[in-house]
Amino acid sequence: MTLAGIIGLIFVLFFAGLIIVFTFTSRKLQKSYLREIPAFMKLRNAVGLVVEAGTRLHLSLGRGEIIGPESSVGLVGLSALARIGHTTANSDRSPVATSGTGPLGILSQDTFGSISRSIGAEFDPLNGRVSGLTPFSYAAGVLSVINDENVGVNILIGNFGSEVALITEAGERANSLTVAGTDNITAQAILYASAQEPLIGEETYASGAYLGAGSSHIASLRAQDLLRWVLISIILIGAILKLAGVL
Amino acid sequence: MKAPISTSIAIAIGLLVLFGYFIPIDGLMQLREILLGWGVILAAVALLVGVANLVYSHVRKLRDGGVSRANSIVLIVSLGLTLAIVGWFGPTHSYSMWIFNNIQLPIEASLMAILAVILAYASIRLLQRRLNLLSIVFVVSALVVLISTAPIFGVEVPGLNEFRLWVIQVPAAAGARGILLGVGLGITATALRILLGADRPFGG
Amino acid sequence: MSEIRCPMCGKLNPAELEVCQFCEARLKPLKVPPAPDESAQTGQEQNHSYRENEAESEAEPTNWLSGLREDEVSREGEPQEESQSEFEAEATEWLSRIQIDADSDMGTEEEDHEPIPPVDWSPEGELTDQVEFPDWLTGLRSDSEQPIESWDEEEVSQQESEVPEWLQRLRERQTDDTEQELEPQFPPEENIEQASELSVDETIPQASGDEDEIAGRQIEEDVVPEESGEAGVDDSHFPFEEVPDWRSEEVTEEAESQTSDHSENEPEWDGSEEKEDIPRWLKELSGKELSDDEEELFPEGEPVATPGSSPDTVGDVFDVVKEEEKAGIQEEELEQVSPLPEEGELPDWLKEPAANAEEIIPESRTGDDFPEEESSEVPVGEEDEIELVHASDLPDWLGKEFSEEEQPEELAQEPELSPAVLPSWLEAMRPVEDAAPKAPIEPDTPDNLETAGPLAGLRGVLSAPIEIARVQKPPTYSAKIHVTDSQRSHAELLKNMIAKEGKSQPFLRSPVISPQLILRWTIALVLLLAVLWPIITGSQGAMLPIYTPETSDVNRIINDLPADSRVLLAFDYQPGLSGEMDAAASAVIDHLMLRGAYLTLVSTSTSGPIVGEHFLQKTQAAHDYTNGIQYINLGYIPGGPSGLLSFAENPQNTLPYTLESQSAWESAGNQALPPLQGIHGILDFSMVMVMTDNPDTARAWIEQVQPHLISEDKSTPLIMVASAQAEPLIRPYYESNPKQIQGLIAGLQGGAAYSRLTGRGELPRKYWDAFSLGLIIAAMLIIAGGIFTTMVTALQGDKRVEGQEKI
Repeated sequence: MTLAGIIGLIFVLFFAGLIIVFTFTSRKLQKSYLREIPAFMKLRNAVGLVVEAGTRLHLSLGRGEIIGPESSVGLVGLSALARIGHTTANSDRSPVATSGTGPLGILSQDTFGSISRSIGAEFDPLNGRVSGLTPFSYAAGVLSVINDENVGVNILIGNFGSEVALITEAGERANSLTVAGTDNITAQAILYASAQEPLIGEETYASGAYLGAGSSHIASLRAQDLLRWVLISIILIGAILKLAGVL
Repeated sequence: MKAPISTSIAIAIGLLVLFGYFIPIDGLMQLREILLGWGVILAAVALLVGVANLVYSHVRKLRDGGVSRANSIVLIVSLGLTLAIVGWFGPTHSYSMWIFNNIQLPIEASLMAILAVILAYASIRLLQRRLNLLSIVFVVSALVVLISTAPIFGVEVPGLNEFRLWVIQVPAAAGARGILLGVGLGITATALRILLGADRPFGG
Repeated sequence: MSEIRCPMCGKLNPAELEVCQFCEARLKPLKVPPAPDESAQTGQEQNHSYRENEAESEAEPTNWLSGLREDEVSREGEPQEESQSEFEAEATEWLSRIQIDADSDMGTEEEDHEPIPPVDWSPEGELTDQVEFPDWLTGLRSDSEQPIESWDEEEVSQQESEVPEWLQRLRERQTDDTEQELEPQFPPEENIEQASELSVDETIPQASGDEDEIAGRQIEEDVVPEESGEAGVDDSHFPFEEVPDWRSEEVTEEAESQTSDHSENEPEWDGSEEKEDIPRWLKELSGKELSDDEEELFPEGEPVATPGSSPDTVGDVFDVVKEEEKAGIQEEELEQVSPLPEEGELPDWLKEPAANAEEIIPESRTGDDFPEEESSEVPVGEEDEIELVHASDLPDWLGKEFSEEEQPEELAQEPELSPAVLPSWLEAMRPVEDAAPKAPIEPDTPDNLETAGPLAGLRGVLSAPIEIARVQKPPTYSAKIHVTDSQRSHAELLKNMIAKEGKSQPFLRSPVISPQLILRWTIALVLLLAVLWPIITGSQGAMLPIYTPETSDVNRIINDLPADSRVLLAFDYQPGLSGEMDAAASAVIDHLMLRGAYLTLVSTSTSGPIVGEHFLQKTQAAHDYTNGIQYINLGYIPGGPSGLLSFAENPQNTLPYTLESQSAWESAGNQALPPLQGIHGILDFSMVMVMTDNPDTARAWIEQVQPHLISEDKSTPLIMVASAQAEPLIRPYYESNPKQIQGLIAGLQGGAAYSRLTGRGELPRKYWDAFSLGLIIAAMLIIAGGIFTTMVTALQGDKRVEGQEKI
């Protein structure tokens, strides 16, 4: 076992321990921990407007594979879908979830099924659909959903590439609010310029906490912040030591 | 906890793969390889499931009617034809290559070209939509890279390329690394939440 | 048991009662209220306390009585007796005038009127039919404790029957006031016989008593004893220690004489007479000088019969009373006289409105001088008459002490009219409970008198918090409305909005060609022109970029490859980016092909294998590489990073076949294809080159595969051909130590630099001019558009702000 392996294992175990500890701390502390992110504030209002106006809510999970690092942001998108889907399930037009890969499409259908069972509504598998298997074909499929299905709000949480600019452009043409977040750096730069409410960096991974997905989300957020400071300290100390010639 | 059995299986397999990556035990490594192989197979099958889901959704659109029925027809026909031709002749056959060279490639290239216009338009509107320091820095950085990548009207400006390299290697890379660190932490947190059973966004 | 005869109905009442239980007339005259601690006492207690304070009150002459006397004579002992004689003289004179006037005014009624029987001053005795004192007279009883020695009941009853109507009304009013003030308590079980008794201590006016005491009596309520009481007088019932002399027979005789003298004269109080006939005391109250005739009538020195005057004038009253007694007025006649005459029968002086009331009526008495007066319920119709009586004909000894300040109070607080005198047969029919007087209302203490605010002068007002009771001048508001500019603008806005409501607004269609669409088309056209122009013209004037270190490293690595090397190529970019990636990688692949390397194509994207095929057919057609001989395509590696890891660890199991379903690897009974001959693991490849546009893919290759490219004895270089968008994220891997990637070609610029380095590759040369012009034009578009939109936004914002300010 290499040194990197040992450090990595310790890091993972420490991270898991922090999540467990913070999960069981008081809820009061957890609720006050979140800072205000304008994107989520607007999202809350937009979801309400969607329900009132009778338009549709569209959530896109990206084209990330379910196995691999890009799967995490897809799972975050599924958490957001589960939370928002409950809110808008009884509206005139049920929400729709698009994805660029088969596993994400199946999981989105499974999420809609659980929502329908919980509220006693009829389950429509078409609500969770695969819009394309390649990035641009996936973007083209999303364009048809935005233009043809009276979408009021676009929520893009998943793994995207540069094709996300096409989706945000279509959302702007349709006069719908677009809240987007991804793990891809290139896509984040594009989203910053084209989306109305971009989520930069790990703000995407905080979606569950801001949408009230559970205390574990807030706990993991607190653990992330703590470990970020640990990493910053390690980097700074290492840089100083390197400059000093120690390392 | 929803579906405790499946959750327990997912947690166990995840822990096995995790510890198998860090702890070099033969048995654990072999088990990890087996599980990874199963994951690869499942991912390939999931691709087929995605295709099936795509077909099903467009068939439903055709049946239910709607505005984009024609597009659904084109998609289904195209999918069928491509599947038939490539499946019969092979992916490297001229027919198959003709479909790719004359349909898929131009379409995607065109979308990419549109992307250039969209990004230029978005850059122009950025200052109108969100006029702040970060937006100004964003636009200035983009302009610097654009101007310094190629000679200006055929004239190579000395030092401009070095300046571009410095912008790319120092501030841009640093910012990207910082974002990646945060994203990495988020990925780890999401994975650990699922491994601990605290979060299960899927499943009924 | 001692009983008091009611001066109104003449029935006997228990001595302890304050108000007659039959007619609710005052039995005991009112006096100045005692101290607050004493105000809570019952009526009986007040009477006792009244007696106790008698001595104190005697020392303090009342205002209205003090004016009656010419000399300030003490009210005690002998001086009191002397004043009593003078008082008697004046009273006699006054009474005689009353009688004359009454005779002249009452007209035929006088015939029906029987002489008022003399008043029975006996506290216990009952009024006889013959001797009855008039009501007004009983009210004049002093508080003196002098017992009434003897009375002639007949004289009393006779005098009482001759009491004029106005005096009776005055008496009634006073009776009502005293009832409310002195809390007469009459238990319903009171014996009727007791009610008929006359209580001297309540009714006997103190001739020489204090002014306060006299003023406190309801003189109008002089109880007219219908039945003469016992001859003897029980001193214990007398509230006063001394009985004025005018009560004696001598006084009555003088009164009789004076009364007879007065009766011979012209009635001077005839209402039909002119104003000059207004009695002197009235004039004095109004501040007018008396005429000569009036002087005769009211000679100086004689006590003027003004309210509050000295009790000496009371003697005149009783002289008249005695005369009435002598006339032998029967009780029944008195009852008949009791009702007030009709308005047509009223003398003129009674009919006169109270025009001179304010002049005549003296100043209102202060609360200290007189008992608290509560507004009494005045029967309808009698109010004016009572006011007339009250205003114009108050005797001197009644009216003098009235201050002007108290007049409005008195006017405002009209005492309630005492109930009418019912005939005996009607009285007998009245139920005992109804006849039983109700519990008297506790008189208000001076503290309850409201002294401020709109309710000033009233009593019994609920106390209000200081903040409410505090009378403040209301704030004055200007009638002119002050409208600020913002209010005016808001009002205008609201007005316009309301005006627009009724008007139909034209439906504004969104323009088909919006400014945003024009801007997009403009950008597209400009960029298209910029890119197409060099291609159309075939211009190649732009210099290719100079190679960079990472580019030269790639060139060195490829130059160091042995002949017949096996190279692994990964086509991990999207078909849409093939324009850039093909131009970036063409020179490198060309160099590889020149070196005669065998190529193995793989991809982690689904379209990668096809992209690779396209690349080789499009850009490397000149090398005439054959599939399956010089190159093979293993196809798509599923599973992303996991698949890469799997491929890196065991490529034979991960990708056993080619795209043509040929077995690619060497196995038992099967020879490997030429590109894979001698390849058992990824480490056996001479070089691994990854072409990707996604930094994540590049990171996955670096993280998953690169560790397997290093062994103890050898290492396989890993080269990246990345899109310009992925370069910032991949370069750190090149700049790391040890390098995780050994070479980097970044975008079209890198490819063009490599092309300049090798002198081969047409594609980068073809694209470079268009690419460079397009970049500059795009930058210029961004600069110009950004400045324009910023200015427009700023101007629109100013207009919006100005509009808001205008509003």
